[in-house]
Amino acid sequence: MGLKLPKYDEGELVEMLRQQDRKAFSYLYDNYSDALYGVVLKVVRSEETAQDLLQEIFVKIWKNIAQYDVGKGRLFTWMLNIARNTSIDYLRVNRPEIQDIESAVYWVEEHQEIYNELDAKELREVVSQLKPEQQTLIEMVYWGGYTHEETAQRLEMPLGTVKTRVRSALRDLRKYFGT
Amino acid sequence: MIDIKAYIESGILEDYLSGNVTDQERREVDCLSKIYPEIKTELNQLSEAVERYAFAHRVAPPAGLKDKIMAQLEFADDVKEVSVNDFPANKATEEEADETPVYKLDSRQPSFQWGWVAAASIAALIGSAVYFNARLDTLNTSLAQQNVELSQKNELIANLNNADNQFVTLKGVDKSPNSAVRVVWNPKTQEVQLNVLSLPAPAAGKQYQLWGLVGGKPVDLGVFDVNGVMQKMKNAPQAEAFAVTLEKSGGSPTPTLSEMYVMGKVSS
Repeated sequence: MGLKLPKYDEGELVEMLRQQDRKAFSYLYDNYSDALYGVVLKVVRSEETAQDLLQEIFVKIWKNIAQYDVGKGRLFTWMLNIARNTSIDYLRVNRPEIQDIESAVYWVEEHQEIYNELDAKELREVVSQLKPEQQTLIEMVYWGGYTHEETAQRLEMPLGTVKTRVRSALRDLRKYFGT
Repeated sequence: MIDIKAYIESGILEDYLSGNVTDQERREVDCLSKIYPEIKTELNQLSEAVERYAFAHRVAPPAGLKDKIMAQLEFADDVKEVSVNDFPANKATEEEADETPVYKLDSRQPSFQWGWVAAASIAALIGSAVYFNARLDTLNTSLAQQNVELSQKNELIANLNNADNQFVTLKGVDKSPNSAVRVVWNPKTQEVQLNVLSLPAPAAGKQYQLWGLVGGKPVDLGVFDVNGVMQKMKNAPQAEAFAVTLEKSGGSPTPTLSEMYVMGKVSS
């Protein structure tokens, strides 16, 4: 598997999804479910919950695909937003007192040893150039939907520092990926 | 013209991607990334980094989940399988053949016709029911959209029907000749509403502000966003004219006249 060479470009895929095409959904799931599941798992830290949420997320993607605006950004970014909002909604209702994200990171890392596929390795090497703190920040804010304020409180950092570091973590990541 | 480099470096695009922006900032990024390719490229590269980060942490969901999800969705081809148009004519003939002996015993020859007509009708009915159910979702969505449009139009009609309302079209001045804004003002209730017909997207940190001219002096009537909706502004007891200027976000105490976009006189 891995980052398959896309069979469809995003525009084509979206058009087919809008026409309720079965193959297009299958392709979407095959190409994106691992990444979205990884994100949700890291945020909710329960395989059972993550599976329920992943179902919900794909159903939402399917139902709302008409609202995705190709001109506005990448498909994955839009799907990640749905995933993030679905996880946040779940956590707000079910665990208002969440949560120590650091332990979440370790929890998933242990599990990842089992699941992780070989070809994600390269990407992970790139990611490992980020400082652990930067990884935590990216996961909390870009995946977990933590606001700057919540992150500052959780990590006991001044708000201004969080803002600057969250932004620079993403800049560094982009640099390492060379995008 | 905005300073694109400074805008990119301000960190707003990163905040946009993490959802740490206000609604207005979000619209601003949406707009500016459409206008300036540099901003769009930057935003794309940043989102690609987030995407690759997610791909670096892929975890395969359990097998079986895909089928479970797909069973909940309606696909174009499920609908087609049972759609009315797809019932082949010979299907009814087969049913007729099957049922023939039964009716023969009864010697009710003419009723086969009714038998298969009924069977075909029921099949067609089921087919339609499945087909229409599948369409119901789509229809519900478009109904909701139409309801929104309808309530906007009702609002407009209510405004038109109110004999006290004055409609003032603010036309673009030299700076922006194609701009236009509609103001609905009720001198009795003093209510002012505004609808942007056409205005360029404001630059970062800027917002449009409506002014009423009373005795030649500008009176602040509030700031507004560029959207298609009728927006309620501050009340105006009197006004000879209305004008819109571009000000810093949140508005200014006095208008920046060099930044005036549209203006219109109240007909007396």
